[in-house]
Amino acid sequence: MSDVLTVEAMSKHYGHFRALNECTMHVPKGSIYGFIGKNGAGKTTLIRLICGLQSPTCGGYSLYGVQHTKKEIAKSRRRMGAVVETPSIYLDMTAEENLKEQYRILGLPSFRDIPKRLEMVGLGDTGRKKAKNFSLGMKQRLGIAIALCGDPDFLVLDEPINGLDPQGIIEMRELILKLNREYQITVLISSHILGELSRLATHYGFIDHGHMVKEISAKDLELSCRKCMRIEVSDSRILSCVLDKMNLEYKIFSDTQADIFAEISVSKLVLALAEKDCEVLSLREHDESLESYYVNLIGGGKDE
Amino acid sequence: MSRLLHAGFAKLGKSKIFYCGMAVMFFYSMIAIFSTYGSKMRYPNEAHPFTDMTFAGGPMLLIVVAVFIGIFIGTEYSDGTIRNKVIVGHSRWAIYFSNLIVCTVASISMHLVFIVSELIVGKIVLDESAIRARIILQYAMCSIITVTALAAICLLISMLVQNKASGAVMVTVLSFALLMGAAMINNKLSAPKYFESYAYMDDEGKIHEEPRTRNVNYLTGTKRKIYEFLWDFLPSCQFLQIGEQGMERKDFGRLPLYALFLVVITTSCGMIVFCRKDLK
Repeated sequence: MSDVLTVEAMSKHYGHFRALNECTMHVPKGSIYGFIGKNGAGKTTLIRLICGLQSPTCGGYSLYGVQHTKKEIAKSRRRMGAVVETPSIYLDMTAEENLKEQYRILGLPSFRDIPKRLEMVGLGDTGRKKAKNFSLGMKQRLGIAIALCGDPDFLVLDEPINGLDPQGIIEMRELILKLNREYQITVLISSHILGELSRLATHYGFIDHGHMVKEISAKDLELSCRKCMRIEVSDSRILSCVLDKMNLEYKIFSDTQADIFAEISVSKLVLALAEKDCEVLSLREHDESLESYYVNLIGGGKDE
Repeated sequence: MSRLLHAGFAKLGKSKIFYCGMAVMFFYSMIAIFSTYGSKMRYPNEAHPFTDMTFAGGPMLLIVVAVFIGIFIGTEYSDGTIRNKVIVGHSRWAIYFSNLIVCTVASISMHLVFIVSELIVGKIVLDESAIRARIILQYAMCSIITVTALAAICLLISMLVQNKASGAVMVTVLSFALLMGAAMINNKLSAPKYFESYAYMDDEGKIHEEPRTRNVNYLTGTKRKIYEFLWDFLPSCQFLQIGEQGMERKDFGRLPLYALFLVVITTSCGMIVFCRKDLK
């Protein structure tokens, strides 16, 4: 799978403050990339940079393989749409007028598919209602509709579910999934709401203090997060032999610790280990969510 | 850039602040005509050519254009819609230049509303002089270049200040400062070099004669040259010169050149800074 966006050791300094510090990122084509970090971690700064709103202090990025310093980046940008922070909409225009304005900016010849596009984001019945009278969810959806005007295959959404009510969150999730699955749009989505993100994302990037701490696919995250028994023994090599014999799935992550991903008979396992002189030091059920994974990774609460 | 212009003019067509500006200029022209009409009624023996006021809308236009551009461009920042243009790959210089063209056309339209309504309604109400088409055209051309310079200055500030309220306040304050500066410069330059001699009788019936004395506030040397330069250079001063009654001036000398110079300088500086600016 090729990458739509590759960020290479990119930094952004505002005076002495390093908002982004040699950040690296890879957004695979067709993915929903969940971008996770604390407030002030550098998420929005990175999004502003890749949208061309600001220039990196050093390092750079490439969009569809085109370096940001090259002239051709303008063409690559035409293949992306973005909603950065608040939706960029004319408040004194209707939803349809807003889309028409964006169509003109893009130089699209016909307004014919505007009703279809409004229908797609659930704003088909807004009529002559001005955007200033929209609810927050409607504004977000209009922002997405505008971002989708050029039929982009890469959509960047900065905190799209912030402030939405539960119904709005469900609708937004369904819309993002629909765009990804039906229209094969790659989505980069930053959010604080980890539970919601875990229902969407196929890949994750964890950022802290302007630096990418870890990038992981949802599959790998699921493997490391799924329900398991965490066992601590005196020798993990012996444990490995015993688990292989018992044909159980496991993952060793230190000389003494391992996770076993199966329903096990504790007494059988303890007896088998005891036969080989391996002592069981502790055994507990371990169920790691995206949230606990994030907290373990970033060290949550330290700076907040 | 044609796409940006298309979008810009479509947005202008829906802009309430633009139509408000047009309405203000129209009503101001009516006020000017009917105040001249009032003078005509009071002093029927004096001449009241309606063309005297044709280009007198400059000072009001200065304020209207500043408010219009401050709000029109500020809305792009406050609504965040300027980002839509950058994200889809339009270059910064194209965004700046298209905004300059749209704002200039809007400002000239407001100016023309004043001129045209002055000419049409003035002719109907006052009907005292034949329209001197060639002179009016000459004045109109010069004033349009001044309006362009004014739009370029206001755009520079509005494009570089991302906060709508701050930007609008800054251009409005600048417009008032330019107006007051123009009035002050006019006052200084029109001060007489000498106070003529005069005689007066005191309480005891004695006649005193004061000799012709030099005005100490009269500007001379480099100071006068600077003031004269500013009188020709600043758009507000140019508006006052163009709006002078009588339309006797045969040519405007360096005025259009100074205005064009202002357009080039402000646009170049604005583009350079805007292209490097971090947008939020």
